[in-house]
Amino acid sequence: MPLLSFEQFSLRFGSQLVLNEISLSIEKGEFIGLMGGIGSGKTSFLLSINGVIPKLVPAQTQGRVMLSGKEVSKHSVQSLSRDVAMVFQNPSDQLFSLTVEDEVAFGLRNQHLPQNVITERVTHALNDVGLSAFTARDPSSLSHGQKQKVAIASALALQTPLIVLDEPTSNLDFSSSVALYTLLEKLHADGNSILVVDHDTDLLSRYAKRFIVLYGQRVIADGDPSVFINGAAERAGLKVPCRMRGE
Amino acid sequence: MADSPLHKLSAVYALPAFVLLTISLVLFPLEYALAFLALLIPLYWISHLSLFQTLSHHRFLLVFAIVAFLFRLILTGQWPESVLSALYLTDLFLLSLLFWFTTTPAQLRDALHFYRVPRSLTFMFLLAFSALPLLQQQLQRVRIAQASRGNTRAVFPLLLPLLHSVFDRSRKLAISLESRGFQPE
Repeated sequence: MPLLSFEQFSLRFGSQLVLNEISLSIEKGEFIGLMGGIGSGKTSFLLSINGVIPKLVPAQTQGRVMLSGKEVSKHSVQSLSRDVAMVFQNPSDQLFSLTVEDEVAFGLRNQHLPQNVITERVTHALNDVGLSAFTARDPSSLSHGQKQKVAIASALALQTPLIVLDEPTSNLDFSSSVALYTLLEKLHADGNSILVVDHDTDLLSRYAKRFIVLYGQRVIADGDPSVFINGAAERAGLKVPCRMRGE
Repeated sequence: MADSPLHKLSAVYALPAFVLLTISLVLFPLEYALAFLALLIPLYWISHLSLFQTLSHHRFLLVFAIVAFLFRLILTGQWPESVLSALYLTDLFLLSLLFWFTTTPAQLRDALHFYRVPRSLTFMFLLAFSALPLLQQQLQRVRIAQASRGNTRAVFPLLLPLLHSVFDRSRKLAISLESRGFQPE
């Protein structure tokens, strides 16, 4: 049974078709890069995984999305938080707690886990992202890169089978972006399944193992790094990674 | 500044005092607005905060007081009553700012826990409390953006982008909270 599957899934906001008959499946332990130009439906794709679309953001859908064997449309966003953890584009929009520790523990408290389990998971997640010394800090006082790490730690602490990240490097400088991908690579090596949306094809092609290209509301390519040299990426308006152009 | 007696005062006491004063201000007749101001002046002095600087840094709040003054003046034609209604709103702002500047969000959270306020309500208070500095930052950004395009006076071009950003953040925060399993009680 795949970890995640889209079965003939279409999504429409009013008269605007955003995703058209998407069919694909993702297995446990994969590291996937999802790419596409602006407005290609990447974020809508991600928000359909945990049911935010159409439950919190109204839209018309057809087909179905299955996550860990559950039909997403039949479960609440809250209950699906045990199956998928999301990291959104701008961490400042998702951090609200008074301390880093509280922020990372938030999702675990919602699951009513015992305090010793919460403490253990928070410690572990903060250790993984290298923020062990920041537990008592106010998240709003951290740098953008550190906030992004707190958001990732919050996702990690949930210990879900799938972690989804929406353009995590969009506000980071190059060295912070490399550090972030190195962390994702480590998490992948530890057995986590990762799905990342990113415009930076240079970085994405270096770390992800499978690539999905969205264009014209459809998946036009799905496979290994050859999607960058067979014309699919260029068709979708994406940059071919420098190392694949021989630069 | 942060070591004044009011800063040191536990929010377990500061919170009910703030609520009590706010309720009194709302329930007492307008004539008491001056008496409340007389009470606030020593409180600001104790907290080592400058009342005039606080008002000047948050002068956009005075727009509401001016609107209240004009509204009352047009409706009743009574100068003293109109001045008192503006003063009444200024008192309310000064009281809220005093509480805001002398209480940290962590103190407020602990006080709400102490009074066994339901988690979702505590949560709502904290979100509102933590949104205030963000609002100020956003207002500053919008003001700079508008000023760089030559607009330094008009209020609507400031308010509309500000409201848009507030709603946008609320929407994104709600999605983030529910995605982490938050369920209001």
